[in-house]
Amino acid sequence: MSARARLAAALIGLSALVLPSSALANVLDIPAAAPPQFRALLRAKLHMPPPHSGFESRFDLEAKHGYKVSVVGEGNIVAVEVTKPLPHGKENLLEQLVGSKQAVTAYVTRGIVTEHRIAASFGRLGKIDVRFRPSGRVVESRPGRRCRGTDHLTRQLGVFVGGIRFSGEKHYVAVRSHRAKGRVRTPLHLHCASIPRGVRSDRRARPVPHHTAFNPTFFAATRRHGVSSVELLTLGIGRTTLFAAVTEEGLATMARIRFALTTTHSSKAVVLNDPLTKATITPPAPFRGKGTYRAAPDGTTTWTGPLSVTFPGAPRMPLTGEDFETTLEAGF
Amino acid sequence: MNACGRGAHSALQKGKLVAAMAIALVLGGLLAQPAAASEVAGTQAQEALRFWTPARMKAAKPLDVQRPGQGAIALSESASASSSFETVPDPTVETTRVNGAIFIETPFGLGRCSGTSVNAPNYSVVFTAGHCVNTGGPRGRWLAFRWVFVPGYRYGQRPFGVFPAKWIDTTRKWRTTGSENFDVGAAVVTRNQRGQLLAKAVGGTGIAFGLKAKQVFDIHGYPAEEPFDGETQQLCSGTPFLGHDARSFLSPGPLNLAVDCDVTGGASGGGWTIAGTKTLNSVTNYGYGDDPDTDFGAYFGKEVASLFHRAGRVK
Repeated sequence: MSARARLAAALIGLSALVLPSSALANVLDIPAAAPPQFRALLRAKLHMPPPHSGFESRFDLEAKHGYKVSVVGEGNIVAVEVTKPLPHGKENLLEQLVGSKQAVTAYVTRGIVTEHRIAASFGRLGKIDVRFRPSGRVVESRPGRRCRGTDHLTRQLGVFVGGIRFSGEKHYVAVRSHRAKGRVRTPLHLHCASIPRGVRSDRRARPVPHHTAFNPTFFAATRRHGVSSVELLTLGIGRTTLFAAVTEEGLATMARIRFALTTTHSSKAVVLNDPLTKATITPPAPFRGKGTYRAAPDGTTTWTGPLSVTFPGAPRMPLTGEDFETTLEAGF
Repeated sequence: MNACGRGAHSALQKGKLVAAMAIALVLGGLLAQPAAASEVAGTQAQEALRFWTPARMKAAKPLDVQRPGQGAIALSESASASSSFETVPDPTVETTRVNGAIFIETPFGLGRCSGTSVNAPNYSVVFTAGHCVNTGGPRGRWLAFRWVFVPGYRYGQRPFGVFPAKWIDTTRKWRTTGSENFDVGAAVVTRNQRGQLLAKAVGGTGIAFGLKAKQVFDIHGYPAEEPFDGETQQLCSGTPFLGHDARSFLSPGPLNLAVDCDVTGGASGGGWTIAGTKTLNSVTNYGYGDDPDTDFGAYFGKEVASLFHRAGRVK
């Protein structure tokens, strides 16, 4: 992939986030725990078509060591998502657009999802088989404007009752329960020209300072072999730099997809030289260490260093090496 | 971001190209838009034979898959570095002549894919990738103009003539969602210039649905990007199922299949037969630009069975 196309795709993805319809794309993709805006970005990145109808069932459980476990059902897809939110302070507009700092490991498989039931097996990791008992309480969003089809979201609250058993690899997380509060939301997606008020986050964004120069930088390192891949993306706009790492693995009967996101305002997180022949990448947690990119006059590049990322259940996954393909762009 | 690849997955690589093509699509309106399930305005074999000269066939570029939200197909321009494909020495023998190259005229130029003659009641069914007949998704466009199948193609030769499509279709889910879990297409072709029906001229494979994913496959096709040139039939033989693409889990439908085979653009739609048999059980859909060693194909389940039965009923 050409660097410029990558860059364009990243920017288009970010631009798309401000579109009202995208902002409502609260769908089952990874990380499902991420804010809707980032889900829309990732869905675009993974080239997944937005859903047009249906519903999403979801419940959350607290686990030890600061993990949150969410179970999400949509279509015939069931996902268990293990999330560890990262501490963050006030966010500027860019940070609010792309989502909170976090690390997620999601286990995705095929299962039975109806408005009354979620059932799926995760092999030796566990099994979910619950039925939904609505409490009778329904929450409706305010209607959108100029919608095709339904103009609002409906969340039916209730309790999922049955068997919930999940244990991550080497038991880094474990939940076992017979009931969990949750909801069934319809439809999956609104086709509206504007967002209904009351759905968006009401947190107040700190605007990106006007004096900040728009001097974007983009770095990507990817490694793919067979049915597994690792990808590091770095996007700097003004004083804010976004770091995201995504890994995908197709296992026998499920996919394991990991995702980490963080931002920083440190000017030392990404240091480039003018001809873009050298860059050092030092993201904050959940990343660790430093990666060094070098481009030789003959066009060969190296991507080395102890840079790694920690996902739930996968500490210090390396993000550098000979088999990574790299792209560096700046000042476009 | 790296979901780009061989004849199928490189749309993001070519943003500008795609944009230009989208404009061309809108302004030009050159695509034949068949009615309903896509009956093709009749190109006759003689006319197709005249149009698809060796030079034009050689100039045709691999078709690229349409991405959701994009308005046009793209013609692939990327290349892959290495291959474990082996050239089929004689594509006209009984076991290999069921495989062929597909050529299509699009508003953006001449396109190409691969396909397989499949035994059906009408002796005229070709199976290929969905994106070789329709760009996919609710805004998908039919690729019906001068669509021909050339079995046993080699260096511009058409040993069994050309078989123009008279009907094309895809799985319903490919048309409605563009999900690559359903990227399978079929064509019903007219007689060749000698008046022969396809399966009577070259034979056909069997086809199987609903089998377990874990099979060993022979991968056939006409890859046209480097190191290939699209002029010879290629074969990755005895390639075992590797697993499912993680992204396949994120969309509804059957999980697609991965095998270790260095396929390049142009091989899209090439048949996957179960090794040691003449049973078609998948077709090449896509690969990733940053992993030239892995080929992905759709699982043949109920949707594909339905497509096959629809095609077989066309008179």
